[in-house]
Amino acid sequence: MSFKVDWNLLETQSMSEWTKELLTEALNSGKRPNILASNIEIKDLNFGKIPPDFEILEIGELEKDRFRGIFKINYSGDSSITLHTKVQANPLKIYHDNLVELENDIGGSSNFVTPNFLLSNNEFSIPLDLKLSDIKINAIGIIVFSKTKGLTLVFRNDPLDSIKVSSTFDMVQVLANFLQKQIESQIRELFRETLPTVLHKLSLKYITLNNEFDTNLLQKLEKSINEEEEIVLFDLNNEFNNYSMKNLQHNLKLFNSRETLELKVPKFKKIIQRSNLDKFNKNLSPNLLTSLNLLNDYKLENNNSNGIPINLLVNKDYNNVKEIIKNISNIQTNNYYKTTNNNNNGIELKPKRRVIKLGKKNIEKPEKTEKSSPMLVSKASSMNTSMSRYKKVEDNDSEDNTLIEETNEIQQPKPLRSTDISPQNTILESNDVKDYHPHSHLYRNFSNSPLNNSITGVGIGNNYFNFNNKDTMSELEDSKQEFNDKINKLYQSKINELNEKFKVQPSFTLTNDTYLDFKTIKNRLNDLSKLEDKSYFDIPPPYQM
Amino acid sequence: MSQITLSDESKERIIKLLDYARTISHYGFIPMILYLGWSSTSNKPNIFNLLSPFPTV
Amino acid sequence: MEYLQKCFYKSTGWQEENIFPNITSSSQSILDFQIPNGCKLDISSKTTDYSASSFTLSNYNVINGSLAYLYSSLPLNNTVGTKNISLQEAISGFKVLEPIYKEETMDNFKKFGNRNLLLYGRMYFPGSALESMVIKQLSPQTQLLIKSISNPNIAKNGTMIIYLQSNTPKFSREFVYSTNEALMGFRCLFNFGNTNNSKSEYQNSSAIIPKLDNSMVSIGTEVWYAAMTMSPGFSTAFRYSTKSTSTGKPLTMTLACNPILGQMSSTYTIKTSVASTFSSKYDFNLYSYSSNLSLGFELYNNSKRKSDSNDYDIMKSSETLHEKSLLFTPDDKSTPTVISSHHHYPSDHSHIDSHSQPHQKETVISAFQNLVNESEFNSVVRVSTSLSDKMLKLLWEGRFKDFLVSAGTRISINEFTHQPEFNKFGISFSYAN
Repeated sequence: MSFKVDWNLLETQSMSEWTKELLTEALNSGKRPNILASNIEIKDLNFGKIPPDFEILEIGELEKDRFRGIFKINYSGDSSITLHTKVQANPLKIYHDNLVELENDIGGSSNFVTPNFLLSNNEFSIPLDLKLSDIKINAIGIIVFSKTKGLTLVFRNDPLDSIKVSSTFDMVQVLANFLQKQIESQIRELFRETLPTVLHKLSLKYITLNNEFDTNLLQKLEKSINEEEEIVLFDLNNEFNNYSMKNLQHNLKLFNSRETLELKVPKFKKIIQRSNLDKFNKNLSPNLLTSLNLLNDYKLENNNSNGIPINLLVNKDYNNVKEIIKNISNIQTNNYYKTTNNNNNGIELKPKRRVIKLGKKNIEKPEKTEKSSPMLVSKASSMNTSMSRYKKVEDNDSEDNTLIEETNEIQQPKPLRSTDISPQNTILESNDVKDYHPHSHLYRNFSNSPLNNSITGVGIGNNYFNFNNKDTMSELEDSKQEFNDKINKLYQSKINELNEKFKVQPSFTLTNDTYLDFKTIKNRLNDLSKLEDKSYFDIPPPYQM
Repeated sequence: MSQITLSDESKERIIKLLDYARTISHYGFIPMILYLGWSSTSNKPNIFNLLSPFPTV
Repeated sequence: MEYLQKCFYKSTGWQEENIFPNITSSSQSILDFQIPNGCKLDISSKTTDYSASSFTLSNYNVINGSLAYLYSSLPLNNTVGTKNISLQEAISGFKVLEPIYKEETMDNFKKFGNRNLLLYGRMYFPGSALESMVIKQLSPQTQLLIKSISNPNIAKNGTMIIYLQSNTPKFSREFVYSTNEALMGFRCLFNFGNTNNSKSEYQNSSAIIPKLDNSMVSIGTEVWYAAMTMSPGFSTAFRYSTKSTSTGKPLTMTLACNPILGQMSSTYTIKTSVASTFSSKYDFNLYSYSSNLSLGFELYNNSKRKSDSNDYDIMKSSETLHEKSLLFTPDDKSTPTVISSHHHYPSDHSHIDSHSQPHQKETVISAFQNLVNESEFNSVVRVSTSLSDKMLKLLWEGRFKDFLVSAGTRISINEFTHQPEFNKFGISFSYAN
């Protein structure tokens, strides 16, 4: 696939002026080497009449954010560039200048070791005009562009075939040859090293200023600002891949700082940092419990874990439980599909499910039962690890209970129980205390939602290591219990009010399981807050065990 | 002139030795000057007078 | 510290002016003077006759300074602090060359033998760079000078330069070797002219004294070759230095030439009065036809003549000198050589008193010289311009409350904006005990 390049477009006045300025500035930047006695000027620059031949040989990958291609470029036109400068022809002057610079660097400016040349180091500069013309380029190169990594360009062969260097020193054959060799090697170096690095840097710069995202963001922000709502970034952009590199790096720095015991935390401008954001995002982060909440209109407290309180499944009749389990399974399947299909080039993998044969051996087909035990999904968020800990007590249980049995030696952690009283749940034992088993934090407080991961990590504030003493647990338990009771009561009353007032049902489709309908959530929260003190966040709960 | 073929190891050693000698002479030159100045006078000035560049009133 | 080096040279009888680079020193000191960078403070003291120390502080770029120590095996008795130093000694100006072979040096040589040694080291901070110099006098007429700098922080860039110099009144020669690019050089200088300045000579000479009597012609050359970069250098110079026999005012003309690059440079320097000197330089390149004219002058002010009763003669002659210079200039007809101290109308005077004439000349010239030496000046202003570089340099040096102050600035016309702008400004204070 070849291109037709309209080279004449380059010949505009403004384009050549701009190029000349750019080149002049680039050539004269930095410290001038002592061999040059004046600045480098571009005397003449013309692009010639013949355009280069540009051909794309192959495109390897073409995706939304990646591009890889092999192209071929061929140029044998008549463009030329003429440079003008002055060269210092007195070598002793160059020596003298170099030595004086050295001495100035060291400290004294007194020409201590420079011999006092009388006239041998007088300045004698010869003007030099250098013309590069008849450039022949024949190259095959590979371009890889990805939104995250920028543009990389590699040439498979040495692009420069030949170049003609003519200068005012052409009379002196030795000098002319020397110049020719030097310039050729420099240009080869340019194509091989300098050009790819410069393009790479430019592309990274371009990516971080991602225009598309910016304009959309601006529009959405404007809209939201006008409505005077609170804005959550998640609202505007459901995908997580449009953040600027710089911000991501800042976040990474923050995250890394939390892995140490350093007290100094990198600051962001105009941002308050909360190290345990999951407390505030409890209601926003998607996990199984919140999905279930929405689905079934439960009002279970989000414990930031991947566990479901066992109360959901216990003490109910089978149909409800079946439905619940079906929901769970659907949520998990969709999640699994969503994550694995991204990685497997479109080959669909079905979630592996453990098959439980119920009773009779005549049944040949293994059924995918809904009361399945967890799938082994590698890449998906490991919501599943805690699933294995559920005690699924069912009435019509089979003998082959492949679920976890309580072994004798290791005391299994007790599952979560919720103390919420949801309107649709029938009975919840009020003295079903949350069992604060010493190891239960392992499964409860560690949640793998992406937000939590990137922000809290392992650092201070997260009770991953259970810094609180076990001794104080009992006291805390009591106070916690009281507090929880109070909150639940408050919550319950509010919910009742709301239900009466708004009678809102979640508009929620099953195809969108793990993504929450934030609008509704926000609406509800807003309503709640409007009822209360107009503070967006609940009182942060005390540190959990 | 006899040709001394040095093994790599001794070359390295000589280079290291030269380096040390250079550092020593770099830092030891001024103390040497001070010592010579001190030893050449009859009434030996004390260290402070010797070292101080400020004029003694 | 350079002053102490000069004192050492004086004590050992070394004519430091008699080396090739200083063939143009008169004009160079007036036209190519250095302006201090930033603000600098320099304090030196002589701890004993044999050793001295110095401390400098400057704020050029960053605050930096240095500490220097000097040791000399010869007692430096002839040093004077900045309180009392005569400005001409401290600030090199017009150099009147009198290549005299002093008798004292022989004495010194016999006394102290061959072991005259000067050691000098300066340590700069921050960054411990060391500058060091060793002067060893091998014989009354030859010495070995080794200068080196070394900086352990920056990439082992030690440079050492070695001079092997031999210096006689008639002839000086030096071999130079530098470790930086293996530079080798050879310089020599020949002096022709009357080297003896004793009074007896004058009185014994014949009636007709050639006008070149108190003048000197010097010819010198230098050859350089940097072995590592294979760069050569060559230049020659010719100097004619004389004193005007009528007024005793010295003048110097030099012509220097670099045949490889076709560069020629000619200077003319004259000391127009006791307190002022004027110099001009014209450069021309045969191959590139580029030329440059530089002009400069220096003015001493606040001259106070020493009111010393012993020097009555000098006072008198200075008065007459003064009168003569006032009266003499507009009249061209009078013969310049005929001036009698007792006559106020020199144009009428016709006969020449041959006996008094050399006496007169000698008086005039040496009187002038003595006058210059004896005058106490407080400050000097130097101005230098360079026409092709479009630059003007100003320097004021003087004594201010026991300190020697030097302040200077450089104004140049910016080639792009065609506006004058200050390029450099600096001031430096120095005190020595």
